[in-house]
Amino acid sequence: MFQEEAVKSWISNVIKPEQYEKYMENGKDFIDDEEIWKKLRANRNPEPQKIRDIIAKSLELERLEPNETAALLHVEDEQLWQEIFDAAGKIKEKVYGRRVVTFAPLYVSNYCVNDCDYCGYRVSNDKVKRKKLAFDELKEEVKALVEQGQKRLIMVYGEHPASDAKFIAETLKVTYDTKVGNGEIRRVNVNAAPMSVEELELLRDIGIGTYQVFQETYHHETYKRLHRGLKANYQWRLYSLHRAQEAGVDDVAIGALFGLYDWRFEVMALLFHAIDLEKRFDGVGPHTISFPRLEPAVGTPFYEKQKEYLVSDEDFMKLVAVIRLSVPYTGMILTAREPADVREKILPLGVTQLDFGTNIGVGSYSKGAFNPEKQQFLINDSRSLDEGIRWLASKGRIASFCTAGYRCGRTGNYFMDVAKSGKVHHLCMPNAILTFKEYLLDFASAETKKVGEELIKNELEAIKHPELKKTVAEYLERIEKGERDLYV
Amino acid sequence: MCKEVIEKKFHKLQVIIEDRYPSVAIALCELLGRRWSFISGVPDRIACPFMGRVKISDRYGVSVFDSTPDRKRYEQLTNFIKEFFKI
Amino acid sequence: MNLPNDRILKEFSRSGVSSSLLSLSDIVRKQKVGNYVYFRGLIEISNICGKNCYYCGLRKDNLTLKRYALSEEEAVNIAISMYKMGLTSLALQCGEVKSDRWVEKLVSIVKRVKDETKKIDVELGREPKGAGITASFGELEKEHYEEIFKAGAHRYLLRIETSNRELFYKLHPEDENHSFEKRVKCLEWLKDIGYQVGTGVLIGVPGQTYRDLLNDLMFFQLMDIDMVGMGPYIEHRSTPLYVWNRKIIESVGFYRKAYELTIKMLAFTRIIMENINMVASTALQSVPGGENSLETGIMAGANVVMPTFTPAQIKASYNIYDKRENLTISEMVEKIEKSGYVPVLNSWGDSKHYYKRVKGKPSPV
Repeated sequence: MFQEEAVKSWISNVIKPEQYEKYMENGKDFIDDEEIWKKLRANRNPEPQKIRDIIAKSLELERLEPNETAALLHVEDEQLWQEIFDAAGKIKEKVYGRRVVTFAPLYVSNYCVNDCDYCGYRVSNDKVKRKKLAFDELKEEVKALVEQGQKRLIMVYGEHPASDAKFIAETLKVTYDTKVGNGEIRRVNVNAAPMSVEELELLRDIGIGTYQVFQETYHHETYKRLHRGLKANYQWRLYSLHRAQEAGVDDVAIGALFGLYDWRFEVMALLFHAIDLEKRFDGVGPHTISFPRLEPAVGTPFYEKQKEYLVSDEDFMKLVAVIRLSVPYTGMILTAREPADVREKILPLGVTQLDFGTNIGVGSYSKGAFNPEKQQFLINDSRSLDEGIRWLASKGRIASFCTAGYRCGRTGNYFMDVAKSGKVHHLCMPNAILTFKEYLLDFASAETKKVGEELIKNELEAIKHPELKKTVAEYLERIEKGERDLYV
Repeated sequence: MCKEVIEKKFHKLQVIIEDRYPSVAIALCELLGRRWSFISGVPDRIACPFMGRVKISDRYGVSVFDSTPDRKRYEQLTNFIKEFFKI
Repeated sequence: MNLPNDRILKEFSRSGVSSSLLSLSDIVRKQKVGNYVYFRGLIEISNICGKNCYYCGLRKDNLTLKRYALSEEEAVNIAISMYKMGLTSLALQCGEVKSDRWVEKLVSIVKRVKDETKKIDVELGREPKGAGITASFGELEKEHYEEIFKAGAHRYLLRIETSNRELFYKLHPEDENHSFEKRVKCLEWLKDIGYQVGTGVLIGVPGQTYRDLLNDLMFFQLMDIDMVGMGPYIEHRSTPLYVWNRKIIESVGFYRKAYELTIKMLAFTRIIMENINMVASTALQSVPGGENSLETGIMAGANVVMPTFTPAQIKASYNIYDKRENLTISEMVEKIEKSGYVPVLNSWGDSKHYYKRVKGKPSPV
């Protein structure tokens, strides 16, 4: 009876201006729209040699400067693009090895107070069925995922008092506590509303993995046009990851929704975002970058109006490759929003995380149903985890469920230092092998198992460090015998 | 024990361990739920196999890495580290 | 925050408590007074009373009740031991006795408690503030109130029981000893003198309507009150009100309704008055059939609790109503922490509303 007042009262207390104003200089945030366009214009028709120099710099795992990224964004020559694509693949292998982390999204609550034109969950969309998982329902969802073999989740929440920080923290706890046989969730990432430092400390204390907040579009004017109410505050959203770092959540993720504005602009802005985080937090930038593309959803006429900025598959390849070169050591997530053929094309460009077995309706995993009325957007790659893993294996990639890093102190500064020097894959590959082995033994189909064992044999051979190889071989035996959660 | 005190002790421990167990590297971590968050250590040196972790208080812990993994050495070390921080 | 009258009345009339109402009151509570619950150690100095209120077990005509009065020494000692335990905020209460000698004794108790607790502060190397003292001694002369204020009590509680004059005289004898106007006047005097003033009403008493409760809410606003203490009506067998309304009181659901109305009144008061102090009264915690009443009261907006320290032997005699439940401090602390709030024992926890009302002085909390 008093929901309206309760929600209004909650909304009026969400934004804490002092928590982002302190990062601003002369009343401005670190995205200077004019400057970005200036740099883009100034770097048209780049000289091939310049581009090759930039590619070489990236191959050394050095972060690019905005002008360099701008130059890459203006390459026209097909041959040069091929070189860029090749470099993208090489860079990723250099940092992480031939592994791809697999995860699944879990939509927990689709109640939202915002009204974003492009989103199926906007408050004015009455075609969507609103739902928030009760804790016993959440347990069922997690069980279904665990039984698939999933070990890493990204949990998604709308912005609403029903899914406030306290609720999110409780759901994390429930998720970590839900185990089925050898299955469990070892890392939970969260995609939710911008929160205050105090709220983020709550999540930190309960063991959040990565905190993700996408700016959607970094272009100030477009952002203003598309958002109303709480989400309309550009800086409160922009500095979310800064606040997270402040609160001690040292794995943060950024992203943009491509299709809202010019894709070259957004790529530049993402780079500026990574740079500012590195500047403020001792070299620690974003853990991953995501690049969802605008897609149709139930009841979203918006898609029809955005023809101008929609990103073609060709341009999509370009933007992913440029991001790869610009921040060589940052993870890149490509979700099942993209169809299988697109994921096939983008995989060699340096993607590090893919989801499979995906269901994005609230409460759909336990029912196994496809429910377009409860979804934020439509899923295009509907392959199961087993199919996805087999596909990756056919591409010479091991699926990794590794969650070692944040449990042994390889986080923040450590990660940045070591990733930048290209040493991470020494450990990423072994841990990929070990978690992959667990999957093959506990969950894989016979077909996948066969292909998987071959892959493990090859990757084990490929380990150069003799002591490490010995340890991994030993751990593999122990895993065969029934031990779990061994990592190096 | 406050952070500065623990960090100082940790650095002393690092020197001893570098001397006595050259294949071993340690990292000082802050315990945040399940997350052991890196505070101090030599990043380069801890990019080698993880052996285990020792909780030294409700808030802090030490992660142990060894480039030539040895179970016995690790167990010895665990006791040594516990002694060092008087647990 | 204002709420439309018709919705308030609608909520009163439905059975059960709307969860959205509690969500809203909890949000307002956290925003305006934080998630703290302040403790005040309560000492019931005496159960001798000159009034004859129809609903109360301490009424003059209740001859079966054993009457007691703590000596000055006893009262002060209890206060000191509470203060030493860490309770820096105290409440002194007694039945209404208008004699000068009695008031002299009360003034002396207040003064000595203040002095002794200040001495304890000095011993402990703290700033000599002494205990924060709430007085609740009924209707007295203005000069009496002034003397008590000078002696060191800076908060005063005087429940109006109901803002409806007609209902007031169904609950009290209609004579000069029980004057509605005099009682309201006392509240005004207390404000003038500079006290943080608290009042409150009985909830769920036979004869009361939802509109009466709505008007009580408006009364709190009109009087710009700093503290509210209210609770469900609970019967006392040796009172006229019980005898006259026995059938209603013993009907199924009577106390359920009184409990729910109390929670709703707490919630609405919190939402409307925002930054006042509100107690989760002992009556609320005692009402039959109210499980988790303390926790629910706090969620509804109560931010003060008053555990009693009246000596065990005489505690039973301070019998305003039957079936009184008294939780110990550690029991209260546990319940409060379990529900996610922060119990505070070592602070005066003054009403933020008071400081806004008198403007200028920052809260010493």
